[in-house]
Parts: sequence; C-alpha cells; structure tokens
Amino acid sequence: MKKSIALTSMFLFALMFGTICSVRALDQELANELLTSTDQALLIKVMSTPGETPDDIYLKSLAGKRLARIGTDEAIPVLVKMLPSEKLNMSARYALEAMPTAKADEALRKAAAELTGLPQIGVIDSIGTRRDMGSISLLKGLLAKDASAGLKKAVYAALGSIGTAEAADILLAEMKNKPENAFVCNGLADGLLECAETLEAAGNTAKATAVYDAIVNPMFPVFVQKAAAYHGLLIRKGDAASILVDKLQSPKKCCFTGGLKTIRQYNAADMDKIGKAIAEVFPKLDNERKAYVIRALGDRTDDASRAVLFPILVKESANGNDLIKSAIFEALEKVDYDKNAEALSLLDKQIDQVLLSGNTDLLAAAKEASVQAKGKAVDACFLKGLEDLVAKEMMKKSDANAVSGAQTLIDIIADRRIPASVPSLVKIAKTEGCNPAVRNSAVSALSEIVSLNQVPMIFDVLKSEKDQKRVDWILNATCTRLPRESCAAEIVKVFNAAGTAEKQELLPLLKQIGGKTALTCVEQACWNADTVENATKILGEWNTPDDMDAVAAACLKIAKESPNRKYQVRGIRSYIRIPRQFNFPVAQKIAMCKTAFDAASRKEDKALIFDVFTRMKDIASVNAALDYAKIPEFNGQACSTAVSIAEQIALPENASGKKARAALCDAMKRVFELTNNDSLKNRAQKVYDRWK
Amino acid sequence: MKQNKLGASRRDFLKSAALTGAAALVPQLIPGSVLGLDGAVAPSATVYLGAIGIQSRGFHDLTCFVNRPDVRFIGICDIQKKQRLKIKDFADKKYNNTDCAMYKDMEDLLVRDDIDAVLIATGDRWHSMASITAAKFGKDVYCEKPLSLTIRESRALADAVNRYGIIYQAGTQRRNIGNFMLAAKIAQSGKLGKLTEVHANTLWPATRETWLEAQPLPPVDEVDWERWLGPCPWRPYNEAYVKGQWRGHYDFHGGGILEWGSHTVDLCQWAAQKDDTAPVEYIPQFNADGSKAGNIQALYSDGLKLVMRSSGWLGLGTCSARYVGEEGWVETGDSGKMAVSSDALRGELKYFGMPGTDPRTHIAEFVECVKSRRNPAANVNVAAQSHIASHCAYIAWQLGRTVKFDPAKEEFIGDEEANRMRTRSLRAPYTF
Repeated sequence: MKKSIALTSMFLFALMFGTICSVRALDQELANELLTSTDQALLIKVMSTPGETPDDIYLKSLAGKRLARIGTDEAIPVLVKMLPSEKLNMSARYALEAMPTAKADEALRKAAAELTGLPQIGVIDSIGTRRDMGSISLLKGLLAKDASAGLKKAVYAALGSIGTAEAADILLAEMKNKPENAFVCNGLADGLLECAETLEAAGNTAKATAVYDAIVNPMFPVFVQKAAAYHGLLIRKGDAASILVDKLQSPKKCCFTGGLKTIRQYNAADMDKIGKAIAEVFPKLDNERKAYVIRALGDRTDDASRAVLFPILVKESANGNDLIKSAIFEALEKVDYDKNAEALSLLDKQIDQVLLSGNTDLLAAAKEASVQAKGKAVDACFLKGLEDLVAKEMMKKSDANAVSGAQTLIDIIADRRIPASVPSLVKIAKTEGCNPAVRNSAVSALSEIVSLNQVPMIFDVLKSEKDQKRVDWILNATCTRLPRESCAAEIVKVFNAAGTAEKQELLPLLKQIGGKTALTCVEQACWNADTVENATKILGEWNTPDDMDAVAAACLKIAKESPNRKYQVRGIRSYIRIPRQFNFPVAQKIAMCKTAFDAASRKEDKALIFDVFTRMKDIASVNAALDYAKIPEFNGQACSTAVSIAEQIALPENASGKKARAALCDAMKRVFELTNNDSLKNRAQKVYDRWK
Repeated sequence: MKQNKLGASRRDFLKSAALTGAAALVPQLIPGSVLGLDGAVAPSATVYLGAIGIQSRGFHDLTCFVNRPDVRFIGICDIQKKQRLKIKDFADKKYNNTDCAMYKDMEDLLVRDDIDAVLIATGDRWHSMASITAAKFGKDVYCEKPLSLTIRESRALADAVNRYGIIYQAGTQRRNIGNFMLAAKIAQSGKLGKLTEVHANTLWPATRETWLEAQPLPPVDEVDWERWLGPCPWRPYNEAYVKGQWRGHYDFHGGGILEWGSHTVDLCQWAAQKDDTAPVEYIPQFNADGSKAGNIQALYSDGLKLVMRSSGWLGLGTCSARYVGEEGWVETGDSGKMAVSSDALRGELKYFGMPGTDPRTHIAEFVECVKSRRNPAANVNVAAQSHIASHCAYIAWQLGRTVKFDPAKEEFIGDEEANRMRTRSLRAPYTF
C-alpha cells in the first residue's frame, strides 16, 4: 500500500509537471514580498487565489510558511479549503499545524473525517504532531475494518504521539486484529511503544508496564519485542532483578544484549538489588558474556556497582581468556589507584601478563587502562618497569612480542609524561643494537616529556634520524608544549648555527611555534639570499594572530623594498591574506585593502582586495568595493563584487532595520550609476526591490 | 517533548588520542588492530552493514567501514541508479563477489534480518526520517550530520532511537579526534579556570526560498525524484539538486549554523559539560550598519556564553572551537593544531596530525559500540541537544531578535512565532 500511495503521488506530480511550460510568468515581486510579509490579508489572498500550477504552489508554499509563523484563526477557512488538494495540502498543513489554537484542531479533525487518500493521511500526521487529545475518538473511528494500510499506519502513529491511556487501549485492541501487512504491524508496535513511553514519562507506570509487556508478543518482530522487554526491565527498576538474570542467561543473544544494555541504564539507587543479582548469575555465564557484563559494570561509576565489580575482577584475573582480560583492563580505567592499592596490584599483574604476549588488542587495552589510571603510585609502577627494561637490556631484543611489549610500556610512559623517565629513555635511544622500533618509541616519548633545558638532547638523539618527516614530527611535538618564547629562543640558536639546508627545515618549525622571537628570526631570513625563498613563503603562512601587525609590516616592506620582483609580488599577496583571513575591524580591513591596492604593481594583485570585501557581508564593504568602480579597469569587478555582497546581506525585517535598508538601497543606486552591465543592473534592482 | 532516557556514556579521553595523534606519521606507535587493519575477525563479531544515500562524503565513510575486517557491507539503497551501480561495483570488487544488493526503497533494505547497522549519508532533508525508519526496524545507525532540520525532528529522532534501544552515532567525528578531545579535556579539567565563553565556528546562516528552473523528469528508475524529495514540500525537478546543490535551500538545508554548528556547537556543549541541555537565550548580532551579522551569542542558565561566529579564528583549520575560562583559553581546529593563552597551558598540549574530517576513529567507536551496546561519543542524546541549540540560534537569526528558550520543555518563552518555527510539516505519507 505504501508503494501504491507513492506511485499515485508520482503520477499526479508527473501530470502537474506537464503544465509547467505553459504557466504564466512568476510574479517575482510578489514572491519577494511574501518572503517577509506580515500582512495576513495578503497571505490569505494568495492562498485563496485559484490555481495549482508549480508557480501557484511556489507562491502558496511561501505564504503557507509565513502563515505558519503569524497566521491567526482568520486564515483557517482558506487553509481548510486547500486541504483536499494533493498539491496544496502541504502548504495548508504547514500553516495549520503550527497554529496554537483550538480552531486549528477543530479544522484538522473535520478534515480528517471527510478526506481520503494522501490528504487525509497528511492531516492525521498533523493531528499527531499537535498531540490533539480531542481527536482520539475520531481516530478510533477511522480504524474501520476496510481502512487502508496507509490510513491505519497514520492513525497508529497519531495515537502513539498522543500517548494517553485511552490511546493505548485503542492500540492494544488493534493487536487482536493481528495486521497481516508487516509495515502496518510495525506501525502498530511503534504506536504502542511511543504510548508506553509517554505514559511512563507522565508517571503512569502501571499502564506503561502493561503496554510494554503486551508488546512482547510473537506477532511483532524480534527487535520490537526486544525494545519492549528492555523498557519493561528498566521501568521495573530493582524489582526486575530476577528477569534480568533470566535475560543474561537466555540462549537468545537478543535477550542477553537487551539485558546487558539495561545494566548501564539503571539508576544508582536500583543497583543494590540489580548488583546482587548480577553477582549471583555471573559465574554461570560463558566467558564472552562475562566480558560484556564486566564492561557494562565497568562503565558505571556508582559505589554499588563498584562493590559488585571489584570481587569479580579479582576472581576473573586468573581467567586466561583474552576477552575477559581486555574487559578487566577497561574496568580498571576509572579506578583511583592512590586510594586502592589492591587495584594497582591487580593492574600491575595484568600488565605483566600481557606485555610479552604480543597480543595487539590486549596491549592496546592495557595501554588505555594505564594511560587513564589516576594516582601517582601508577607512575612509580611504570617507571620501575622501564628501569627494569633498561637494566635487562630488553630494548635489544628483536622478537616481536618483546618489541611490542617494550613499545607499549614506553608509550604508556609518554602518555603519562613521567619526567623521571628521561634518563632511561635517552639511554634506550642511544643504546647500540637497540631495536629500531623500540628506539623510535623512546624518541617519540622524549618529545612528549623533555623540559626546555633538555631540548638540545632531542637534537642530539635525532642526529642519526634519516627520515625528515619524522624529525619534523618529533621537533613539533616537543615545541608544541614548551614555553613559546623560550622554546623559540632555543630553536633560533640552532637555526643561527645551522647550515643552509638545515635552516630550510627549521623555518616551518619557527612558524609552528610562532611569537615575536620566531617571527624576528624569519623576518631576518627574508633578507638573506640563502633563505629568502622559504622564509617569504613561511611569512605568508604565518598564523599566530598576535603577530599579525608585525607580519603585515614585514610583508609590506618586502613588497615595497625587495630587489626581486618575485618577492615583491609574494610580499603583497601575503599582505592581502591578512585582512582576508584575520579578524580586524571592518574599517581597518578596508584601509589595509587600500594600502595593498596602492602598493601592488600588477592588476591581478590589486584585484585580490575584492575577495577581502566579499568575505565581509556588510554595507561598508559594498561601498568600499564601489569606490574602486571609478577606476575603469576595475569597474566590472568592483560593481560585481558590490552586488554579490549586497545579495547576501540580511537585514532585520522590523523597524530597526530601516536605516540599514535605506543605506543598502543607496548603495544599489550607486551601482545603477556606475555600471553599464544590464545583468548587474538587474541584480542590483532585485536587491533594491527587496529592501526598498 | 519527552525527556532523554539514556544519558551520554562513553569511555574517557585518550581511548583514541594516541590513534588520532601520531597515527598519520608514526604508524608504528599504534596497534593496527585498533584501526581494524589486521587479522581476520570471527563471523560472530562481524557487523553487517547497509548504506542509504551514498555520494561523496558517504563514500568516504563507507570506505572506512569496508576497510575494517569486522564489517561486511551487503546492501545499498539509493534513489539514483548510477549511485546504486557505483556502490555495488565498489563492494563487489572489494569482496570479490556479486553479493551487494541494490534497493530503491530503504524499507526493502531495512527489512532484511541480516543487516545489523546502516550508514545514512543522504542529504540533510532525509537524515532524521531515514534514521527514525531504521530505528523502527531495529537497525543501529551511523548518520551524517546535521541530523535534523528542526527542533521537533531532533526530539523525534532521539525518542525513536531511545525507544528501540539502537546504537546511534551522529557523524560528528571530532568527538573522537585527538586535538578536539584534548581541548575538551583541558576545558573540563579546570585548567582554564571557570569557563566563561565557548566559541563555535559556524557559517553564514542564511538559506533561500527560491526554486531552480524546472527540467523534465528523468525516468523514475534513473532518479526517483519523489523519493529524493521525501518528506519535504514538492517542487519541480532540477538535476542540480540531485547533484548536491540542494544546500542553501530552506526546504532541504538547515543553513550555515547547522552545517558546521552540528559539529562545533556540539564540541562546545561537550567541553562545557552541557551535553544534556542547551542555552536559554539566543542573541543575534548586527553589524555597525544595522545589517545582520552571521554571529549569534547564546547564554546558558549559569551565564556561560556560547558564541557562534564565522570569523576571527586563529587559522587552525575549519570547524574551529575555542574555550575561554577566567584563567586562559584553548583553541583548535581541523588542522589538528592547538593554541593556548599561556605557556603554562602549552604544557598540556600534544601535537596531532589527524585532520578533523577523518571519520576512521569515530566509525571504529561506532562499530565497537554496535558490539558492546555502549552508547557512543556522539550518541543521539548529545547530538540532539547540540542540534536543538543550533536550531534555536538559527530561529533567533531569522527573527532578528533575542529569544529565550526552556531546554527542559524545548519551548521558547513568551515568543509564539519562535515556537511555531520549531517544526515543519511532513509531506504525506511520511510521518515520524
């Protein structure tokens, strides 16, 4: 049935399309007026004008949307007349559905009783959206035996939205008819579920529970029953413990997952009873289900859940199953180890078990648990592990399990940023015969941990690194977190002592650091023949806003004073980027554009200022662009830019926008005077007409 | 409006921070299995996936799904024949078989018992309707943003997802990307002092009410225009809509606030630990000349200010967010880079290389949640709230005046016109 409705609808619209070419020209001025009209009489007039061509539908859709916002009961009669039309039904409902009056309800009810087909279904949807409780008996009456599938679905949905006990009873009675159509059956289930949900929210727990229980019926699909059972469990709170136990042990996976989901949802107050039940049933579960239950309990943070969980973790720590081990790590993530020495011991043992396992999933779980773990005692635990690794020269081992274990340990230390680990990490990085992967991990860890005075140490360990991308990564990771100016000073020292090739590599790092010290270094490099190429590029990409005045001055200086035309152009383009990208007052941006326009020597560079104006959607930018229309070679671009901006400007529809509307219209008058381009004049005229 | 039943619950920070951090350049630091790159997966752990409405972004998402060994993609639904064929060809080549089924009607896909989850990447007009329909068939959903066109749609979606207990992940992937996670953590840790402002990078809000020129309808098998329109008001066919130029049209699009606010307002709500509410006042801003600015300021009940703005960002990439406290600020964006107000805060930073548009970690979390039944990071309740906040802001902008909002009732206070704008009618026979 659903498809037949769609096909009918398609046919009708295809017919309608055939009339498109013969319709009268669209009244664009009227359309513009309708966009912001607060004149209900005009809107009603549009709605009452006969016609169902696409242009009619367009104008009526605009009017319908306006009536949705401002329409009163006065508009209802004309809207009601449109409801039977498949083409106009939606525009009428758009308005009626939004009107918060009893008369709108009455009109929709009357239409629902009289109409048929798609218009009727649409009206019923509007009734449901409005949750019109006065429509219940009407809706019940529509559920006659010969009602179409589409109509039944619509009524079920509306009754579900209304969600009273009376609506629920009607839907429950419908279950006796056992709809054969699967879509109708799903619609009934959905209506019932929504009813139950609304009853529960309204505090009618008994009725809601009864409805949820009724839905757990083989006439409905399994996922519907699962949903009802899940809500049935939650609504019973602690009293659902025995049902939950059954669910967790059910041979049906869907019952288990439904029960599992509820574990995360119970209020803390219910967890005494629920927790005890879980503790009792837990030993009877298989390992996979145990793991899921541990994770579900582990996601809870209330004391009752923790009290149930911890003994389970201790007992299951002897379980060799990987799923259980992984779940234990996850459950340990939220523990405060300074307050729970037993938990720390458990974490330590679990990590010892997996570090040399080579199991990447377990190592990842161990890492996550360790990174999350709170407490200073945890740092000491991992530091000792690292020192043992160094003492036993484990970093020289090349078997995969040892390597992945060492990497995991070092990664944990990096993430926890343990300062006391630096000597051991340096030792690993410098040990001859160290496994390369372990060495890489150690160097990466150093980039996360070293202090400012240890920066030279990073350069030292990177001496042997061949991969420039990796060097860049390590240096960026180091400098990202160190004090800006002091860090920049360290890098500038290295820069000044470096050869030409190394300087090129360090310039992007200086940009990444930003700030006065780094900028001064790059500015100087712009005037050095060895570094000018990359330094001017870097200056043009500088993105530390606090530096932008200085960057602007430096770019302008290059544009004006560089002996090389290439860098003059780069300088002016870099300068124009600043008002385009960064946040300055409008007047300052316009002034910078003038400076750029005057300083630029090439037409294409001067023209870049129009892109800056385009990004500012205000009347000042329109006028600023028009100021350049007096220069013949920029007349077209200036007028085009001005109109493009004007088209996008939004003005208040109320009295507060009067002055701005006048200013924008004045600007459009300037366009009429400045351009001979008819297309532009037309566009300017439309803007003028809209805001006049 | 019904209350949220399921609170946001998720694993803490850094679950995938390492992954989002060094992954791009230092892959040896990341266990491959986290990205789903290694090893075979037992059939019992395989998630069977269908997809609805796949074009460019959807194809990127789909590629991330099918690159996982624990996902099997088995059916495509699209109203365009060429897209159905393209996606089937992609899947069949990937799996070296001809198993990928094609559908024009999503219900024919959703009724399949062997499909666990669906990827929805239609245009915005279909997001909530398709997601709700999928929920009613018991399917878990990964849906591209924005998830709704109205406040009512946002609530209807959240209610349906909670009703059926499905797993829903909004395609707001930044909740699973390292730099955004770290920025939120810094804001939540108190290191910025008491939060005073959160800033969301949004776009120019306006949409338009024009129709493109009518063109002859293509054969329904090639492009099913009626299904393309779905619950939206009818208008004549034009190929440009189908090719993606539906953006900017009011009937199909939520405007520039929703376009990016679905990400960035969401980030702000998260950082401010306001996932279960929305601001109570929305104040559109004006330029000095009286024209509307694109910016909107909003206030939470505790005085925290949410600033939605398109300009003045530090250039850290698209979809930037900034969190400002009494003692400092942090800003980040899609480049992965972060900026802070002081050297002391710099000590908290990490260097990230994964762009904010990369959905891999977000999809990984979704697949994990499909198996574990955990609520994912961008679950429907948090996503619905941030969308409701964005819709409120757009309504205030359209009205050009300050509006007050009651987040519990999801009603504007003392503003009937604003209240009327909370919903749009659905074209028959569509219903939530």
